[in-house]
Order: sequence, then C-alpha cells, then structure tokens
Amino acid sequence: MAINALKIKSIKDKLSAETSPYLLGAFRVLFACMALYSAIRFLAKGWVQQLYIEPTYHFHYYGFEWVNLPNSSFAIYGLFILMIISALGILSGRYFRWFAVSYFILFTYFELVDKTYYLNHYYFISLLALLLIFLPMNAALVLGKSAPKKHPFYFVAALRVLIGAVYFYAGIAKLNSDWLAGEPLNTWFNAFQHLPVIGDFIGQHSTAVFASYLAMFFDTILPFLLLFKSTRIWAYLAAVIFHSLTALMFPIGVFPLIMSVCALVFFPTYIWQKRLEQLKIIKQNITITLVVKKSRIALPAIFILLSFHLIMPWRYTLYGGNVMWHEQGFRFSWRVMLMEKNGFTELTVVNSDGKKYLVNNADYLTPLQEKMMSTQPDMILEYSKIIALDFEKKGFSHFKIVADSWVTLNGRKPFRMIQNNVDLRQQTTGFANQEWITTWNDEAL
Amino acid sequence: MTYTLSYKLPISILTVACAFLISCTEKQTEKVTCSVDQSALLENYAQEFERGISECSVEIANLQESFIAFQNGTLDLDAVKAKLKSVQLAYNAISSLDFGPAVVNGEMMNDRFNIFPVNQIQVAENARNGIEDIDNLFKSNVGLQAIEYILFQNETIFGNADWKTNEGGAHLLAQINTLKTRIENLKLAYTSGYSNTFASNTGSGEGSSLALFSNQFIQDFETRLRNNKLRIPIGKFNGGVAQPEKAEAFYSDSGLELASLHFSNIKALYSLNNDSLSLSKYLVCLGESDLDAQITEQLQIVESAYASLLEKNGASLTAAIENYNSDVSNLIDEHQKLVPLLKGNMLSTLGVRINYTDSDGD
Repeated sequence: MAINALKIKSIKDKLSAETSPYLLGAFRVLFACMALYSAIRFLAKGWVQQLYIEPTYHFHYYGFEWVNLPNSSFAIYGLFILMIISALGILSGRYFRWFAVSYFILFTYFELVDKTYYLNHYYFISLLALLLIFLPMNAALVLGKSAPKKHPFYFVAALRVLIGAVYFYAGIAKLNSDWLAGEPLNTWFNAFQHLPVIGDFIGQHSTAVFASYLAMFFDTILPFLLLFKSTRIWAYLAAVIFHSLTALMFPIGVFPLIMSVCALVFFPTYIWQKRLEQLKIIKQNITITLVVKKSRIALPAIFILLSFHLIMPWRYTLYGGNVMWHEQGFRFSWRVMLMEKNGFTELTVVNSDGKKYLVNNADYLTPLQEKMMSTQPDMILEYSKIIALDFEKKGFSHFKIVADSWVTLNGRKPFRMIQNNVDLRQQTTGFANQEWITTWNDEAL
Repeated sequence: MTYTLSYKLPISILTVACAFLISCTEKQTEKVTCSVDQSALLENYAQEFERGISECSVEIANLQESFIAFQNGTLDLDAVKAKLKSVQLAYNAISSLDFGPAVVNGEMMNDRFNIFPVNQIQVAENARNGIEDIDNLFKSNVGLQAIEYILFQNETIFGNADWKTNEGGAHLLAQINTLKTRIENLKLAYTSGYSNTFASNTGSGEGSSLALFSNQFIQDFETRLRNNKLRIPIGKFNGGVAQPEKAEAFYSDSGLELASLHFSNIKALYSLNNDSLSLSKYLVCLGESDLDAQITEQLQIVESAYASLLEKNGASLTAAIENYNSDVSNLIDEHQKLVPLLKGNMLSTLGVRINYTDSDGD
C-alpha cells in the first residue's frame, strides 16, 4: 500500500515537474506547417469546389444536421482562407489561443459538413487542434517574444497520450479475422504484382498475411517503444519507414506525414531544446526562469478530451455483429485501412398507387457521394430521407422507400446489406441499433 | 528497464514469426500468385481501342463525305442516314474508353458525342442560324443525336426550305467536322504514344491503366447503357411512365439495336477474343475462375435476351417498350445481375478501387 502511494506520488511529481517549453513550441510550428500544407493542397486540388460547392446535398453526422454551408461559394472560399490565416496565426504563436480556437472550429466545421469525406486523420487533426487550445503551445518560439516559459510535464504527457492512443487503437482494430487472414492487404497488394523483382514477393498471399501481422504488432506496440529511451530512436525510424511505405503504396494523402511528425513528441523535451540549439534557432544554454500561469480549465478540459478519445473507439461493442459490415461505431475509432468495400445501392420509391420510382443516384449525388453511400448503412438511411423530402415536395404523400443494396467486403461475394422489405422512410437515424441492416453471416457468404 | 526490454522484444518478434508461419500453412493454398504479363494484357486492350477508334474515325469520315455528296446532289438523304447509323454503331464500340486522351480539357468524349435526349428547340435554332462554332455549344446541342435529329426531322426544323446547302447544311457539316476532328485527335494520341503509355502503366492502383479502364468500363455499363439507354426510356425512374423520346437514336428509332450492340461490345471487351489476355483471363489467373464463369454466363444470358427481343420486335426501342414491356424489364433485370459481379467482385479481385475522384486517405 505504502509502495503504491509512493509510486503514485512519484508519477504525480514527474507529471507536475516543470519542463522545457521547446517541445510544445516546436510542435506548434510543425503542426501549423502541416495544417498550412494540407489546406493549400486541398485548395490546389480543387477540392473546395468539388467536395463542398458542387454537391447538391450533403450527408450529415447525427446531431450535426444543423452544420450547413453558406449558399455563396465566395463565402465558402472565404471560410477556407480564414482557416489558412488561423494556421498562420498558430505558426506565429501570437494570440495563439484565439487562432487555435478559430482553426479548430473552422477545420471541424468543414469536416462536419459532409460525412462522405470522413477520414481518420481529419478527425485526428480536429482532436489535436482541440487539445492544443488547452496546452501552453506559445510558451516558446513565439514571433517577436524572446522569454520562454517552463510548463508542467503533464501537458507533454497529454499530447503523447492522444497520439499514442491513435497507434494503439489502430493496432488492436486489426485484431479481426479478415485482417489476420491477410485481407484487405492481399487484395491491395495485387496492385503491385506487376513490379519487377519485388512483384512476385508482394503478390504472395503469405506476404499479405505477414504484413498484416507486422502492421498489427507495429501499431499496437509502437507508442510503448517510443516511450523508452533504449528503443525510441529505432521505433521512430521504423515508424518513418512504415509511414513512407504506406504513402508509396496507398492513396492516403497527408496521413503518413502527419503521423511521422506527431511521433516526434515522444522524444524528450531536452532533446528538442538541444536540436533547436544545434540548428541555431535558439541560443545555447538558455536559462528559463519564467513559468506559465496555471489555468483552472486546462486540466479538466484535457481530462474530458482524452477520456472521450479513449472511450469512443469502444462504442462498437454496444452493437454486436461485424462492425465492418454495419459500421455502427466504425468512425472515430481509428479503424484505418481495415477493409475493402465495394457495391451498389439503389432506392425505389413505392407509391400507394403501386407505381415504382427507381431513384437515379446521379440526379442527387456526386459520384464520390454515391460510392460512399452505397456501402455505408447510415448514409443510405440519410439518403432515403433526402429522397423522401424531395418526393414530398413533388406532391407525393403516401409512399415507402426500399433499398436494393449489394456489398462485397474484403473480397467476398456480394451480399445484400439492407433488408429489401424495410421501408427506410419509417426508420429513424440515431445511435440505436439499426435493425434494418442485414445480419453479418460469414458462413453464408 | 533495459533488462525488461531485452526479453520482451525477442518474444514479440518470436510471436510475429510464429503467427506468420501458422498463417502461411493455413492460407497459402487459398490464392495462387498470378503470372499474367500485365503489359501484354494492357497492350491487347490498347490495340483493341486503337482498332475501335480507327473504325469510328473511318465511319465519321464516310459520314462527312456522304453529307457533302448529299449537299452536291449526288447522294440521297437515306444514304446519309445509313452512314450516321454506322457511326453510331462504331461509337458504341469505343464509349468505354472515355479516359486519358479521350478527355479533353476535363470534358469526356461522350459529352460531345452521345448525349441524349438533345435540346430539340436549341438544336433546331442552331441549325436554322447556321451556327458553326460547335465547340462552344452545350453538350445537349451537339453530337450524334443532334445530327440524327436534324437529318430525321429536317422537315420539322426547316419546313420546305432547301436547308442542305444553306445554314442548316453548314451547321450539320460543322457538327460532323467537329466529331471528325475530335476522333482524329484521339486516334493520333493513341498512335503517337498513348497506346504505349497505357500498356506500360501497369498495376491496379489509382491512376493505373487497369484502374482507369475498369472504372470506365463499369460506368459505361451502369450509367450509359443500363440507365440512359434502357431504364430512363422504359420509365424506371418515372413511376413506369415510358419516356422513349429520351432514348438513344429516338429519331431513327433504332435504340434497341444500338443498346444491343453497345452491350455486345462490353461483352467483347471483357473477354476480347478467346486467345487474348483479357479481363476474363486475368480473373482466372488470379484464382477466380468461378467468378469469371459467372460473369461469362450472365453476359451470355443478357446477350441472348437482346437477341430474342430484337428477333421478335426489331430495332425500335419505342416499339419494344410498347409491345414487349415485360421483356425489356426482364432485360434490365438481367443487366442488373451483372452489377455486383463486375462492380463488386471483379474490381475487388483486380485490386481496383472505384475512384471517381482523387482521394486523401482512409
């Protein structure tokens, strides 16, 4: 008992110990650079136009139906530019909290507008931006200010927990029968069979299985290996190689870059200070006497945020069944590159006079929206609501909406995903188990 | 701490190795490594595309010649109409290759060649005004269907006026010339390097030739054939109220024949000729001979359904919808059975993702 009390006190002391502010300061600069690069890339690729302005309808997250875009494309671009300005503000460090709040709100706003574009790393950036608001990221390396301030170590620990948990959850999410049997990597690796020398090796099913196990172990243990001095540098190099390989092989955008940068926070604060000294960004052997002011809301906010972060991925257990099939609890749980789903979904409006109106998806959705809707049950339900509203506007009142939905998961043969006798118009969106989704039965496939 | 890690790490590595060995013994027999030469496969398709483009180019040149002869009074209108049909048949053989050089300034080839229905009022007005700057017209006013409308409805548009040598003729010739230029540019792009680029762009990842082609192949089948040529005219999107005027080749009344030919071309593209490396052979090579057999069988079923309908009804889709409505519905249902096989299983097996847009991750 006494030992435990001592241990707790020792941990408490370590967390409260004042530490160099250069890790957080430099990480703020790196985060802002990534945010700028990501936003400018988004603009340059024409995605603001393509993903936000062109679609007639957007798919909302449950509870966030009120998040809509302004009608003017000028205003949409304006908000995006404001987000870039916020990132620049974060980079400078001046008025950090204001810019961090503004960046978090704008980035998350664009994310919430349409769940078609949900990406794990977008969610990660939102969480990270939210956490940064409560950390003393402006305690050093602030434009035009030369007096750095020490801060308690628990701020760094919070950042490590957030980032480490992403790896850990991504690892344990891979503990499923498909992944351990080499899918979907086996399917994806087929794309590289043509390569000279390594093509034959990559094309082997055993390679996919090996890579699956390796990725699973790697993700799960990486945060722990990064914590210890003796393994840290090797673990980090392995992470960079791993992320570089995934960047080369898969279309995963800026995710590898973001994670490679974020994993740097596991290096000790004194190393950050040393490197900055070596790079002549800061003076040698600076004596830091100032300490950041204590904030009454920072710790509770960090605690709530991290609790949310750690609990969210488990909510799929409330639904049972195969989470990759029904996707209830799939998002916001670090299930990264876990499945290959293809298929089609078509809705039919059956009027009370018996007339049937097949819905032409191209009349309502962009090709990308149609693709995502076709395999995600909650989007199918929301789509049915869009159609219902449109038909009501056209003067229909007594009708039902049924779905013809066939989906293939990780290379299996297609299986009906939505019960075809269910009137989707009568179903409600929400967190309750959606019983109109067919039950996953691996044996039947 | 160092001591603790010194045994934890080897145990982790050992566990990975064991898991690998166990999984190898269980799964290695399930999939066969495919030894198809993908370059050869793509080269076959590039040759097939070149052949199709060349044929289409010849037919458009023939149409141009025949229309000029018609203007000169040495050929009658029916002969021009027959040439137009040859172009329509030839175009349907290449509508799946709407990628690479077929897309010009972000606009797909189909948008300039085969949009239907056309805006009759606007097409008539353009013809009466002798508009010759075709590139600046909306897609619903240009292409094969616009030409067909003018040729088959010239009396409605021009009355008894001598249109062929006046504004109407100038507009029609400009429409034909625009298509001719576009197809010749496409032919040039293929012969001067794109065929090689296509054949050497192996793999099945985003941007690979296989991904470009198979995505277009599916879209052509699903949207242009099944939806636009069959479902819309029969009224599937419209509560069963037929809209034959929205069909391809409505004015020449040969929509069913063209749809049938379009389908036959899709079937032919799947397997090429039996000796060539094709999507079909590639699936077999990837260990999916059952899937290949299913697709082949379903393709045959649909082709037979077309043949039997054409035999009893003739080329007219309007007549088929009126007299053999349930046969047309059945034909659509048989098309539909191919969708999960092609879009689901085939693409998954090929390792191709359905990509209509650039993506940013997972």
